[in-house]
Amino acid sequence: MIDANAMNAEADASAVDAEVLDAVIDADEADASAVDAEVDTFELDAMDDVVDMIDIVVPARPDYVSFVRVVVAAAAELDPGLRPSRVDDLRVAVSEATTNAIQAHLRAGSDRPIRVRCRRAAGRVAVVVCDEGPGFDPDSVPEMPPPESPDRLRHESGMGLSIIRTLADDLQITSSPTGTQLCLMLATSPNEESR
Amino acid sequence: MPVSVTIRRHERPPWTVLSVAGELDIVGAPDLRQAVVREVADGARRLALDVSGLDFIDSFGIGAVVGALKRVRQRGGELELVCPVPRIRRVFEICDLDRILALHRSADDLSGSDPTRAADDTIEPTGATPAP
Repeated sequence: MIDANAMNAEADASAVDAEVLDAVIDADEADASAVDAEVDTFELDAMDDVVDMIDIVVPARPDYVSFVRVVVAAAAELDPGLRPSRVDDLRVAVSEATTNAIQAHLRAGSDRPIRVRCRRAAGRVAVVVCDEGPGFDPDSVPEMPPPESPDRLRHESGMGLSIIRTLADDLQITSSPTGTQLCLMLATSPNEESR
Repeated sequence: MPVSVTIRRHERPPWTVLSVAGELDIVGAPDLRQAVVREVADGARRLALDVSGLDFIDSFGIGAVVGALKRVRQRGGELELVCPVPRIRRVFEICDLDRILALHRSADDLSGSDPTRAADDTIEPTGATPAP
C-alpha cells in the first residue's frame, strides 16, 4: 500500500556528508529491527493513506539533531498543503523531540541509536521519535514559571515539550522504563497552495 | 564536528553587540553561553544579541538567551535582542520571552543606540567559535 512511493532517508541522502551517511547506515543495519518491533505497534500503522514514508536511524549524538530536522523538513516541504511557516514549526518540534531522545540515551549511558519515522498522508504529516531511554511521565513535566517571575530566569532548559505542544496539532506520548515514543502531527490543507 | 554557530562581537555604543549566525541548538548554544560569560566577565553591562543571521533556534538556544539575560541582570545590566526574522521571533514568543525581553527589528532600535557611531564598529571573532 505504501511501498510504491516509499522513500528511505538513508538511500535518498546522497547529498549528505559521506561520514554521516555511513554512520546512519551502520546504525540502521545493526539496530533497526529491535526498534521496529516497538514502533510498529504505534500510531503510524493506523495511517492507511500514506504518500511518503521516511525512516531515519541515527546515533544518539547531538550533532545528528540538525541532520534529522533537515531531512524531515525536506520531506514535509514536498506537501503543498503545508505552509512554509508550518514547515518551520515542524522543524522546531522535530528538533525538540530528537534532542530529548538523544539526551535520554546520553543520560542512560546508552549507545543505542534513536529512530525517527516520518509519514506524509492526506491531510497530515506525522513524525514519531523513538528512544530507548528510561522514560518519563509526560503529565508530570513541570510548567515554566510565568515570564515575569524572578524564578523564570532560573530555568534555562525544560521548554522543549511545551514548545512541541504549542506547535503540533496533535501530540501523543507513550513512555515506559524501556523507552519513549513521541508522535507529533501537523494538519495539512489541500487549499494551502492558494494562500 | 561542523560549525553550528558563529559569533562576532562589535561595539555599538552604549551596547556591546554579539551577532549570532547559524543554528542555535544543542550543538550551537554552548558557544553563545561561553561568549556571554566572557563578555560579562569583561565588564559588558549593556549587551545586545543580534540574531538576524540565525537560520534556526530551538529551546536550547532560547535557554542560552535566558542564561544571558540572567547573567547580565545579576550585574545590574541590560540585555536586548535584534530579531527581525519572523520564524526566529516566533520561538521567542512561544516561550513568552517577548514579555520580558526587548525584541527589536533593527540594531538602530536598541535603547539609546546612536546609529552615527555604528560606522565605527569593529568586528572581530569572539574566539568562542572559529569564523568560517
